[in-house]
Amino acid sequence: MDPRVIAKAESFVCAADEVWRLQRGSEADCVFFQKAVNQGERITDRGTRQGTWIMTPGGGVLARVNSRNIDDVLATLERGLQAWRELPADQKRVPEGVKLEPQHRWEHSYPQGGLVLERIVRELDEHALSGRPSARWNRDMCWFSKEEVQAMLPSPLRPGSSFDLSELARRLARFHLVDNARGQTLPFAESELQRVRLRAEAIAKVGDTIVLALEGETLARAKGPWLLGQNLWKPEAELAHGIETKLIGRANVDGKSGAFTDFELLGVARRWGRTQNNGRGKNDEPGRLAFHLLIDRSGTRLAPTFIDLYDRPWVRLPEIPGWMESPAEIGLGDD
Amino acid sequence: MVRGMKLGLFLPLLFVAPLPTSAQEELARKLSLPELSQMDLPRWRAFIRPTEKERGYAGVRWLPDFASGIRRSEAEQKPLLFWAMNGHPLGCT
Repeated sequence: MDPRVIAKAESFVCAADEVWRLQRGSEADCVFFQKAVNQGERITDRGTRQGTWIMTPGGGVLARVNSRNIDDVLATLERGLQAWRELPADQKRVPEGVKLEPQHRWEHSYPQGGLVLERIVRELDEHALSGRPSARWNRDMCWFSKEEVQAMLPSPLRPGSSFDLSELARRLARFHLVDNARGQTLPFAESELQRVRLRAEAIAKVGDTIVLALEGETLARAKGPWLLGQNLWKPEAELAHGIETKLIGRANVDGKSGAFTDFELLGVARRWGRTQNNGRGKNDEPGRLAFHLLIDRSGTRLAPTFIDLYDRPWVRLPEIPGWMESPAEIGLGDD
Repeated sequence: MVRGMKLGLFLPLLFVAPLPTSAQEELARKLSLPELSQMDLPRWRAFIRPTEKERGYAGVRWLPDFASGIRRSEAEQKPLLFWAMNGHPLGCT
């Protein structure tokens, strides 16, 4: 990000959020956003509201830009600041009685005490480590609850023992070892997993910490109809695609609490085909990807992209599914 | 002559038509993958993970949701700079 934008941002409160939910949903924050950006009305069209908005607590829009041109962005920020200075004090307050906090966000299901991984994917060429890292990369989070972690680790865990982390690997293979280096992609159905294996071997004990070596592979293949039902991700067309990965890694487990204290997994993959929005255009030629998954210590509560399809009891679902088309279709009023 | 020229133009197009996906998968299997070892993990980590420049957006103290942004905007009496994308802008796209 341009240093001039970072410096200018000091004059604002900065927030980032996923906009599809905000512009389509019926939660309090969605309604507030829609009325702010749509002249006081709920949004019923499908036009994008992506971009950078300068907004007020009173529900006003001072400026907006949807551009990666730095000069355009800087001019928009300045225009917004100027408008803020001229704004009456009462418009710098959230109106009395207006609700803002949503009943449901996926972040509410954050698995406290579980395993949270930050996953990076980057395109890889034939030179691998001898080449230059591709500029095509993306980020996601992977969540496992405390109970799931406890269920996947043997107790007691002693050096020399080995065991499968197949449930962990299945979630990764379905939702996180996917081709979204260039853009939004699709998860795999359980039945599309052709091969999933992740073996852990306890190779050392240092104090209370058990050191694990990890090794495995996955193969996922989607070909034919969409198998994951009605949801946000249902594609308009059947596009065959797949991915085959080799995995290696290491992890530390606290022998007393039975929790992961460190976790790192590397994957290299062959991918083929494409999905509707993953930036491959009409080019479904095969290529390589590299994945790196690392335990997240930042406390970031960003939810995994496909958490709505995790299908686990600890993931709380919204009352109104996010794939519903519009407030009008679900029969909600304007309050 | 004219007919022959047309064939000459169109035949290459026929040969570069997209292969069926099963063939794409077969092609993918021919791609070599590097051997992995525990020793190489630090090099791979440095290779794959984003650089400080690539994480430039982290130079701004972003709140992770719109409602928090509006509340903080009111509390600090500053305008809200709201970054909105399909897929969360801080990742997970």
